[in-house]
Order: sequence, then structure tokens, then C-alpha cells
Amino acid sequence: MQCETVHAQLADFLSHALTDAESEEVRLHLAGCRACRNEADGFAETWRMLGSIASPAPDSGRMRTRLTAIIDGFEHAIASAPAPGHRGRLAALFTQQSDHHLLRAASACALVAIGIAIGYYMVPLPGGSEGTRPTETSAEIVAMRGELRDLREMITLSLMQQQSASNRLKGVSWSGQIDRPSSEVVAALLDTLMHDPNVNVRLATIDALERFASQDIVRRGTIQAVDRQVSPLVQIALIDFMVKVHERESIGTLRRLSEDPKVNAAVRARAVWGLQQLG
Amino acid sequence: MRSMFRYVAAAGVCTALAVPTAANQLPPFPPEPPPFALQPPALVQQPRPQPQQQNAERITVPFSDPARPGSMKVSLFRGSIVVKGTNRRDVSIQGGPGTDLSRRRAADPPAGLRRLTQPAGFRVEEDANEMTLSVGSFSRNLDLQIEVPAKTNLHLSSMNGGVISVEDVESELEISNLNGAIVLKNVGGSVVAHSMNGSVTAVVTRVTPQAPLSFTSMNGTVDVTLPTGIKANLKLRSDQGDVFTDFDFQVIQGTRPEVRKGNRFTIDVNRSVYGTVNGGGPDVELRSFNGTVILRKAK
Repeated sequence: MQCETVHAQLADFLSHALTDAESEEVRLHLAGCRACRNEADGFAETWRMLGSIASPAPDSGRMRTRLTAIIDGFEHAIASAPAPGHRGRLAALFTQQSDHHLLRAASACALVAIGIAIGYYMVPLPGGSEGTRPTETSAEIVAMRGELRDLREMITLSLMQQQSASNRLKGVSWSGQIDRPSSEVVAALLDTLMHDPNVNVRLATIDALERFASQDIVRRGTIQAVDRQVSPLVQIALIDFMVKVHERESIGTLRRLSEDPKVNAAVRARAVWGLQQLG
Repeated sequence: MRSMFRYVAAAGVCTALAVPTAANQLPPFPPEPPPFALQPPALVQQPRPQPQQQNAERITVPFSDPARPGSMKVSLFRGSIVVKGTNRRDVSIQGGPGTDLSRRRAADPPAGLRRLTQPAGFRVEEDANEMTLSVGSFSRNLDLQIEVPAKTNLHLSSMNGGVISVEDVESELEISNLNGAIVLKNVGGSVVAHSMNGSVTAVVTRVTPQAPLSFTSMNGTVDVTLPTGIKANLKLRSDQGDVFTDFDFQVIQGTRPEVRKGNRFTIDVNRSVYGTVNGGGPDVELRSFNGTVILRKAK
């Protein structure tokens, strides 16, 4: 057997992927050829070391939280879907992860909810004869509103994960239409502010976060974000945000920005202005 | 890897066109160049070639599923990108070395020798209807002229030296330019455009319902023309400049966060102008820090 043939088969030989006959041939050759044996030993060593490399840990816990949040929202929506027929369809719509379907599902649910709500409001209540009905009705409406909000929240979170900047922008803007959004929405907005590759999306996120300015996590997150930004436009918008919500804890960050010669001149000037405002 | 096309545009591999013309007047696209026709590079005999002569490389790349809208992603370090939507089903890319004003003047050739223009060099990959164009070298300047099907999603970015221009494309546009302008003509769909130091000029003729639009610049003018009937929530803002519009604008109050700290109470009213047109709709943001912001009604 030729050395070249053996070389070509070494990897398979070491991973026991050869037939017994081929294996035997290689073994015979290795016994008689020092060069190939050295080669095989080196190979085996590398093979062993490769095995000892720890596989990289999955991305941050944040990623996992977000994934769980999406799955939870998804399961919740399925669990609370009104009819079994809807259930399968909803699942199919959402697993496709397509914006088109998401929107279609959202608008369908919104329409159903609005339709039912209007129906209940329009029908004059027959005074007293069906005394139990109004309370049931309002309970249903409340439940339905809750479901609608959950659905909207889920779509918002999902949109913010999309590849297209236009969809992510849509997600950020949708977040403004949810009453009392959960902490997951706020966390997703902060994550977008930190990591979104698109300047316009990050800018829109700052505006969307204004509603939550009273939350500590938002204040801390935005201060952290100032340091990470490379876009002066976003940096300036964040400085304005600090001033707007009167975040005195940002003073250290603003001072550092105002003194850093590498920072854009307009940003430095804005930081100085911000420091004056925050006194 | 399903249907991975890989075309490396290199000298002589593809149809090389040697057309003497000024850099900013690239030759018009021929209607349909034969894809992958191997022709010897045409050497144009000239006694004294000028430094600005083009040795443009042209390749045609099909989408794996032309029935679905494809997407095209281009990232350049130096150079300009001109994209035109057409009724073709594949993508035609022509890249020339372009003119880089920051480079030293080309030296005169030694006596008796003539200059051979080197190809610009770029690589196009197609995978599942997503096309990606990348450049091997950071330092070389590349001027690209690209023809795409009219409904192709575009993701274009350039750092230095050139304009990014898009014409007659209706899709999702995501465009960013660091030191050059962005010019969009007769585009539709959804647009997200940002230029750091250049202006952003856009004429949007059709918008996808519910699609947000966003045009921002740090130091340049933002000048956007929108269809008269557009339903939108507008957010216009220039920090150091002025805001102009001829839209019938229903001004609404923006968010005014109220902050209480002990007895202290602050309300901040920012410089953004918020408003709705035609009853309101998706968000449309025009924003510049140092430049003027102009929103025009389509005539």
C-alpha cells in the first residue's frame, strides 16, 4: 500500500470509519513505515486534543431568557386560544416566524376581539331579566383584552428579533401600543438599544423607552448603552434622554464623554450641556 | 449548502469590458450580457491611457428562485453603489476601480510602456435567494453599478468615498453610508436610511402599508418626498437646524415624561415635531442633528 493512500485514509482509520479489510491494510502499512506511523501518531494526538476542547458555552443567559419568553408567550396563546380548531392554525402561523403571518394573525385576533366587543356594547341590555349576563360579559371582555395584549406583546418581541431593520423598527413602534407591557418587552427594548446593528432602530428604541423612564432597569441600561454606542446621533439622543429623565447617576458617564478626545466633538459639546442641565 | 453559487470576479474570468470613459459616467448597461461567456479581455490599444479609464468587470448572477423576491447585501469600505431596479430576473453587477480622490495621483508610465488597469476584484455569493457582494481588499476603491429585479430587498452600506444611490426599487431598503450621501429615487416599500456625514435624499413613491420609514443623518440634510395620501405618524427633528414641510400636518403632543424627585418636578418638551397626516399610520421619522430636515409632498 502506498503512503499517499494511507495518508488519505488516516482520518477515517482513526475514527474507525474504514472497513475491517481497509483498516487491516492501513495497520500493516503503519507497522512497516516509520514516516506514516509518525504522521498517524501526530494525527491521533490532534484528534485527542480536539476532543478535549470544551465546546463553547451557549450565548448569554439573556438569549435564553428571551427564547423562553417567546416560547412561554407562544404556549400561553395556544393554551388560551378559544377553539381547538384555532389552536392548530395559530401554532402553524407562529412557527413560520414570518412577519406576514404574524400580522395576519394579529389583525385577525384584533378584528375578532373588536367585533365581539362592539357586539356586546351594541346589544341593549334587557333590563334585569338576564341579570347575570353583564358581569359575565365584562369578565369576558377583560379576559379578551388580556389575551389581545399578550398576543401583541408576543408579536412585538418576535418582530424585534427579525432580520429586516424595517420589521425591527415596526416591533419597536408596536411596543408603544401595548398597555402596561411586561418586563420582557422592556428588556427586549434595552437589548435592541445595546445590540441592534441599525442606527435608526436604536434611535427609535430610545424614544420608545421614554415611557419606562421611571424604571431603574431602563435608567441603568441607558447609561450603560452610552458607553457602547459608536454612532454620535445615538449618543446624543441618549444624552438628551438622561437630561430629560433627570438621571443624575449618568453624570459620571457624561463627564467621561465630555473629556474623551476620541468622542465626536458634537457629542462632547452635548455632554457638557447635559452636565450643566443636571447640575 | 443548497444551491450555493459562487462567482469570483477576477481578471479574464468573466466578461471584461474595457470601455474608456470618465469614472463618473459609467457606460450604460447592455441589455443582457451573456452570462459567463468566456471572452478574452479586450485590450484597447491606446498610446497613452488616462488614469481614469475603466476596466469594468461585469457579471450576471441568477437568484436560485427568481419567482420569489430575492435580497442583495453589499458592504463596501471605499466606493460608491448605484442600484437600479429593472424588469430582469437576475442581477447584473458591474464593478470598476472608480476614482478615489484620497489616493495619490497615478504615476506616468515609464517611456514605452502602457498601463494595464487592474480589475477591482469582488466576490458574489448566492444562497437561497440571498446574494452577498463583498470586497477582498480594504484599501481599493470600488464603484459598483448593479441592476436588480425591481422587487429585491437591498441592504447596502459603504464607509468611504461614495454615494449610495437606488432607483426604481420597491422592497425593503436598509441603507447606511458613513461619509457619503444617500440618494433614493422612485423607491417604494419600506426604507431605513442613515448617513453619518452625508445628506439623505429620498423620493418615495409607494409605501407598504404599516411599514415604518426612517431617514436620519448626523451632519447632512434630510430631504424626503412622500406620497400625498400617505397615512403616517410623523416625527421630524433637527437639533441644530430647521424643519420644513408642505404636508397638512396635524401636530400632536409628543411624549413628555414627567419626573418627580421629592418636591422637584420636571417636564421636558423636546425639539421633535410630532404629527399625523391622513389620520395617522406607521411611524415615519426624519431626523438630522446638524442639517435641515425637509418633508415634501409628491407633486
